[in-house]
Amino acid sequence: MALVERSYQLLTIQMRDRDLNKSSVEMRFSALLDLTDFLAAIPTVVVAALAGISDAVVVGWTLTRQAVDSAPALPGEASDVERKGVFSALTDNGHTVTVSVPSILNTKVIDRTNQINLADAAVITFTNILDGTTLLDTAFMVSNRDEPVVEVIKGEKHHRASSKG
Amino acid sequence: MAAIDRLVRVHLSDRDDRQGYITLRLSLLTSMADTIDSVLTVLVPATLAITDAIATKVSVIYKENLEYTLPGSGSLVSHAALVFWRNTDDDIAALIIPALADTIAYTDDESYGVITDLSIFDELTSVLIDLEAMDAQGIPINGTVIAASLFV
Repeated sequence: MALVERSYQLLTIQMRDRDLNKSSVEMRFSALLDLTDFLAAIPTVVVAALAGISDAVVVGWTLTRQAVDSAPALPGEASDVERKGVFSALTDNGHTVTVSVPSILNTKVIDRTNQINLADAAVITFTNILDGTTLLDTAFMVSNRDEPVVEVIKGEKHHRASSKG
Repeated sequence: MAAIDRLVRVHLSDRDDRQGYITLRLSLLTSMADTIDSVLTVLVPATLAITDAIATKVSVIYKENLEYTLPGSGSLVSHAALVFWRNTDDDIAALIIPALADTIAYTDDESYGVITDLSIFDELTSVLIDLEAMDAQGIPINGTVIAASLFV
């Protein structure tokens, strides 16, 4: 089948009680809501309304929009998400950030090495997303320190447990 | 809004139905619709050209962790309220509200947990109607609360 966008966005509000037990409230909202207005309304309106009737505390929220393939095709026999293509990149401040691609194609790995061929056309297309602006016109990839990713420097094949993603 | 995390994630699955994913952090908040379109048209094809797994789901995730102080000693998330709304199509929407405040006199004595003062949900209902909210199953919350009950 194909990835199909869901018509809604899911808001999950995480709450904790005195003993740090966790619970959450899940609601759907129209995907057509203005993002800026809605993000402003979450803490000031939705969280405030919950605070009026609950004595747990809101510790965070997550807004998610998804596209899902409900009947995906069967992957190839050689596919294995634990065979990762691990790309390392530098930020503009010299820090390193990595991105793992599950089930990297063996044909993208240089024979007799575990190095991913960064000169391969398909690999270049992918790495341009990491260190360029081809994903979005205005947004680009940053590290968890919010530093822009400026250069992919290495790609290696590793075997890592799938639970790590 | 600088504290809001901005992630895109492509979920991949292999022949043995094991899951993996790629996560990228974006530099700024953009329209979720534009972002997911870009992920579908740019990131997914580029990924599928270098992997033999298949993409089963893509997500655009905005999230924020809020600073908080420890709630009062009476708070207990398992002391929740199950609230029902009848909407304008006569469907029933439902939400679970954790840790219903024990400072609210919401039940009569010997009411077995049935919340008798439904007006305590008026503000929440007003907010949800304004935002055209739906419950987790997608049923619109656009009517009045018809019943609510405590459960643990």
